[in-house]
Amino acid sequence: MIQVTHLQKQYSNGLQVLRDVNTTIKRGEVISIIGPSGTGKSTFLRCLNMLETPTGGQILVNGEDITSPKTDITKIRQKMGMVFQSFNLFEHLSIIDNLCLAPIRLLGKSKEEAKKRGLELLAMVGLVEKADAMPSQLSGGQKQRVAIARCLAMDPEIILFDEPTSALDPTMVSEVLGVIKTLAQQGMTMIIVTHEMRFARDVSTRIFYMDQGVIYEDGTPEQIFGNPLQERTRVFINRIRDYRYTIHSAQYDLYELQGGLIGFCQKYFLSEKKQFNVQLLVEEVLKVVPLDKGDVELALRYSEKGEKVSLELTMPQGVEQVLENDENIDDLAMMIIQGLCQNIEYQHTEDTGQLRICLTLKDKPLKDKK
Amino acid sequence: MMKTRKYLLTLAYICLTLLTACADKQAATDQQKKIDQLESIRDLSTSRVGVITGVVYEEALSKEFPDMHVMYIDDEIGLLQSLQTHRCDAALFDEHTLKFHMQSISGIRILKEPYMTADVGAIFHPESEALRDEFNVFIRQLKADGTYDQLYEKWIEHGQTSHMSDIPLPTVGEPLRVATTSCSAPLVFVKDGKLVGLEVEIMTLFAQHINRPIEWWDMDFSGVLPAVVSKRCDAAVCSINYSEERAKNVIFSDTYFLCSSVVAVADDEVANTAEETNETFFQSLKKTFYQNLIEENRYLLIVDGLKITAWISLFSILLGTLLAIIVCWMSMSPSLTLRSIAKVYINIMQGTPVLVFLLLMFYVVLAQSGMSAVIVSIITFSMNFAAYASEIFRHSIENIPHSQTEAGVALGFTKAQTFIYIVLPQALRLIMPSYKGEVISLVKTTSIVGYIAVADLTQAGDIIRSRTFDAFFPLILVAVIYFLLAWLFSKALDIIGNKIQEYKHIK
Repeated sequence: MIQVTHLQKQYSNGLQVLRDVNTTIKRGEVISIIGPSGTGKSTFLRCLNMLETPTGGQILVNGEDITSPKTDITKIRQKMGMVFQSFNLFEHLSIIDNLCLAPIRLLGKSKEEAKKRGLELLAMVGLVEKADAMPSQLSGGQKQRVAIARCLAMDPEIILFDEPTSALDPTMVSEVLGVIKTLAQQGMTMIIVTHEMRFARDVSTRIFYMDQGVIYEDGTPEQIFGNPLQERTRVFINRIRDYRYTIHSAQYDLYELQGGLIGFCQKYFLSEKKQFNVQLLVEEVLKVVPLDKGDVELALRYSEKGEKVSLELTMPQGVEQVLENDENIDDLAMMIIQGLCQNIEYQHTEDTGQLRICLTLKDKPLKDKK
Repeated sequence: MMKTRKYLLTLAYICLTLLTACADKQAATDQQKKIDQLESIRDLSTSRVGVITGVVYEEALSKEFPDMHVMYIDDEIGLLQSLQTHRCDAALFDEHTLKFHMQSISGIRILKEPYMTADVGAIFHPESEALRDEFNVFIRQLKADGTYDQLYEKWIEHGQTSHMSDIPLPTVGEPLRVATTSCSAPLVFVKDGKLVGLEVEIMTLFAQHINRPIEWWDMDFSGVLPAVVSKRCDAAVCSINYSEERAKNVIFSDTYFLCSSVVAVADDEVANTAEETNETFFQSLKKTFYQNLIEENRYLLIVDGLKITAWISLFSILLGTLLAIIVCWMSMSPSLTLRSIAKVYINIMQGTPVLVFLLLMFYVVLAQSGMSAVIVSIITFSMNFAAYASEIFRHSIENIPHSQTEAGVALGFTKAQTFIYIVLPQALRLIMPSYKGEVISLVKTTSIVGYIAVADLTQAGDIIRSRTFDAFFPLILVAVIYFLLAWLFSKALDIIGNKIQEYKHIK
């Protein structure tokens, strides 16, 4: 359906984002594009419908070269929906009018016909009730679902998703992903640029790992996530994500810290149980360690590969052993910590005199113990 | 609710202006005794004396009486008003003008001794010496055969009741274009909607003498000299006093009228007796109304002026909006040249006072084009309007996020379609409020076209004022009409705006 050969894109400031992209996309495929930021994932997607003009190479859509100036690109775009990170609903039109505008003006549908189809699509994304609302009255997740319905109103052959959940609150991500999953089950051809690794793994038939302006690795989700062939892919998949917080004194902002922890857990789809455990662990640890001797650096880490969660604390100079062999500490807190953790490591940094404590969360803590 | 509030506001506005009109009647009367003893201007050497801006004796006056506080006031009505409201202690008037208006004037006394006399003549462009000489010969002829004396008696002694004689003029041929100010009774003034007066009749006779049609350009006094200097007009008459300063730029004809300046002071005793006639407020309002509008069909002046103001405004808005779209398109174009042109244009337009630009256009840029003053006004205001409107357009369009365009393009719209269906409807909402403000401001700004001899609403008010010597009524009337006109324009814009929004919506 789409054939990309030697695609290149260089911005006018000299930055070469796409160096040499080659691939073929078949009808019915659901492709997720993952990779570090700034490696041209979005640019590649935007080249596919010529929102960005490539500086080299060819893109054939159903055999037609869309990079050629002779091609009527608007006709191609009508068959190629795009969902943006920032939804981009038409702010001056009601929801149903957002869906009807293009079918009426471009496909020549009658108002009744367009409205009927529009309502069907809104029903599909669960927003029939909002048909007469204005975009500003909708939440982010609702807006993105409308945006998807707006694409579908043109009966596209393929939909391009440009980080569809990046601008959403963690609580709203799943409603949008749910809609995309439904589309995948219906056999819609889709290309999705995303940072939601678990979603990519669940929904895709194929994964592109993009790095350094090329498709670095191309394979099934099992291959990319389970056994990547390339070193860079492996590093990316196993890469550790973390949430950092610095505690300056004992009067730190507990609610800010808790909020950050919850946000982080939701972003990476940690189970509620795990989320609770993380909060509990942090709370108890902070009861035990001294907070009045200087800044304490706190880092919550999560590795995609093994789904391991660990908490790392960097104590200031002068703090010796904590958590162990200390008579004064809270025994109950200590018990909870030990119950939650798989293992606790201590590490002294010689040159700075800092003490680093690494607590790894058990996969199934507490319950086993009881 | 909104409507009631608007009507209330309008009513309040009218009441306020009327109240101001009544307030000055209460003015103080302390200096009465002193005033009775005044004999000549020398008794006023330390007082506040009002004179008309641009009179020839300005310099002489301040040299002779260095301690005198000279106040410059634009026209005779203003001067009279200042005198009656004690903003100045005395005022210098042309004797014939004052005499002409004597029946409408109350509460002033003319000092026995006149201040000075000045020669009045017609002015011509220095290159039209032949025409001037011909005029001089003609004047001598008029004086010799007694026609001049007849005219003098007719206009200077009985100006209020006189009419122009029927002077047949050729209808074809190059017209004699004469600049004038119709606020110079009894030499030049408007009666029954026509220019009449001593100088008008002399000039018309002269036109007949040289067998040319005549074309009058009635403008603000400040515009008269430039009109001759720029050759827009062949000659000018309007009680123009000879001065060496003026003679540097234009040439004067022989004197045919001696104008003496007299000193007038407020005399509240006279004022009080005059006001003690048992007139109720409504009776006097009725009288004022009659004098200013009904007598001599003066309301026609207002109607014609309103038409001119409305047409100039309407066409300036239409043409200006078109031009604004072009300038806006240029200022948003990818071409640096087009952008720079637009930017320079906007900066020049925004940085020059409209009046200065209007005079420049009329006397310099389009002086040779032969375009009528109304057309020049429309062009000027369009250009000025375009500069402001294009910036409003550009800001509003730029305020619509680029992502909206992208979404449209991604759906398969062309760039033009995207602009029409998606960007423009959103931009219009941002444009409308400021655009409306700009339109209203334009309607009001057109009041300066009097400077280039366009008889607009303001000018009509001035003409009536110059005849009736009533300072308030015409002004208030004109203000109210402007207010209603601006309101109408903004209402019309609201309706158009709503229609567009409806059309864009798919229901």
